[in-house]
Amino acid sequence: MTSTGPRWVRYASGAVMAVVLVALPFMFPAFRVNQFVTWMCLAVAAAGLNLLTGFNGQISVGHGALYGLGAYTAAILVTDSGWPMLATPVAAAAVCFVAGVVIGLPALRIKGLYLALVTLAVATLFPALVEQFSSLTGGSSGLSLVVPQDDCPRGRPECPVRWESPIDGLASDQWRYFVFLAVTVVMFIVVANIVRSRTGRSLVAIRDNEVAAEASGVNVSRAKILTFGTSAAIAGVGGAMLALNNGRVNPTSFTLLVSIYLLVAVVVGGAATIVGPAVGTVVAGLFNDVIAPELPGRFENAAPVILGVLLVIQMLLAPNGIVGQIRDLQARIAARRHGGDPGGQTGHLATPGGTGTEPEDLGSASGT
Amino acid sequence: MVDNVGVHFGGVSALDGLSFSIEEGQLAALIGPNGAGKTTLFNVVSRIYEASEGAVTFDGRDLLAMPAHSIAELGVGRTFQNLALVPGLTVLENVMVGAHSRSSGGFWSAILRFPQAAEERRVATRAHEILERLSLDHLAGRPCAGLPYGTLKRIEFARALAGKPRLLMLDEPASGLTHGEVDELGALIRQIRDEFDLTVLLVEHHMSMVMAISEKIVVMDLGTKIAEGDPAAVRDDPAVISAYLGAST
Repeated sequence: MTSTGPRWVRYASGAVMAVVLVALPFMFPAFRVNQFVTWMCLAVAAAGLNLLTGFNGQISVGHGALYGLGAYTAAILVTDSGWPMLATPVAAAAVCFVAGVVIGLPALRIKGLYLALVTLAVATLFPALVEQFSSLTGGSSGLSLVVPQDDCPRGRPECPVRWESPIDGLASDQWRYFVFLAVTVVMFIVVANIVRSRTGRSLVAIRDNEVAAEASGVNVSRAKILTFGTSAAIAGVGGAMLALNNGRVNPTSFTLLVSIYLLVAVVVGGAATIVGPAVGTVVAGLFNDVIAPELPGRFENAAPVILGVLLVIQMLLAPNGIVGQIRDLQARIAARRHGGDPGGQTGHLATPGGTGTEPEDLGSASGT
Repeated sequence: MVDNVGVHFGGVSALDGLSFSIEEGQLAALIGPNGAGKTTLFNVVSRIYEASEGAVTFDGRDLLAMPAHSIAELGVGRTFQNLALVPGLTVLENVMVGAHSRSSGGFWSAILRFPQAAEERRVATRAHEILERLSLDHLAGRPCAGLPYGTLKRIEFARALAGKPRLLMLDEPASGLTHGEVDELGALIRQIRDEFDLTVLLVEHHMSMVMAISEKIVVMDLGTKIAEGDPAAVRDDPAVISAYLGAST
């Protein structure tokens, strides 16, 4: 789970990724940079979903609602309570944690597809709830994030949130990009740290073998509930980021489609890998925001169909997702280099297979 | 330790009034034909099955009053008849999962990472030591998926040891091994018992191994105890012979 190829490969790919991420806002026009920020918001939410679905094996089709809850929490706090913008993701995380725990309660009794159905209900319910509480949420017309300011245009008392760059030579879209990039990186580190810990191991153990996890002393119910809450909290941070970026929230931005989009991002990028959700979001974003609008006129409406076909092809060629597939490939190369085969077809009982450099059998078990 | 335990599924009795006890430090075996209820008893002790009646006492404490995840913490570890490893984790991580009840740290400290760093190292070092002891350490970084059956059984053994059990329940540790391997496993179990200061309860069908290493044997058939004693006594017990030869039914 943690070892992915030789160390230098990891460092090199990390360095390349860092350079690309820093260079992007200087290479593209503001509207593209803004799209990249939107992808970051989705990537954070997908990372949260991945913790739950990828690592803990609980399928949620309701994370779009939690994403939305985070967005509305941020919007309401900025507009109605005058919170500083960057404090709102923390509040969104707290609110969504509680919501996630509540939604996760049925997960103690039901799992798999049945759990997916329950969370599906949450996803479909969310836009209706937003309209129900329209005094708070602005109903179907949405909510703009406004802050009181002295220098608003045309003498109004308040105006939309702005991201003024404190650094000379950095445009506001570029500044915002870097602020959001920082938040995104922090959230991915949070997920990575959870996964590579005692807690993370217990989550995977629950996913793969609940009985064994329990027999090893893992409090399965508690872990499942906390995972649901934490996953929801991370999705909520993504939602809060979206609200702060767009300066406006709308019930139509948080439909069931968003939940499915998040699941697609996780699966395409690689479930139960750390950067998988980011890769998946970028791939899906590239298709939806960059490729689809360029399609010739008569294919324009066919974009979802094309995406669907591409998904089917990917599931056939790379069922573990992009990152998962790369990892499998690395493992295979490493196994070949060490002279052993990857293990699956190794001799039946006597040879544990593997590195091949240390041939040994059960007989030596008592020898040490 | 086990007192009058019964497990009934609908009208079927998997265990019926089973009672026996084992002493601290003893290497005891639970034998009997298939379907005698041996694994059922293990599952009652590790709280996977609910006992309909009776009591299981460990060290003066009533195990049946505990939640399943507390059993390991009390010092009862086990392996499973049909492997229950975590394919998504490496061999080392599997063993580290076994130390779950002997370590601490939840989501919050995991997010910050540094509060757990020292303990992570401690748990990993200990897991390496156990793997080394079982001659598995060269596999530490490998995923469990794809390793041979006998190796996986030993990894389960290592995982159970990582929980620092005082009572270790081994469910058919020798299944799928060759004759020579079975003998060596028997010797290994004895050594581990002495080194780790364990009480061992073993379910096994390899009679040569059971007779060679056990200090006490409990024989079960159809959910009840039919004999109990040291290997020599059990071997000559007419009830045992008839159960194994099928004459009793």
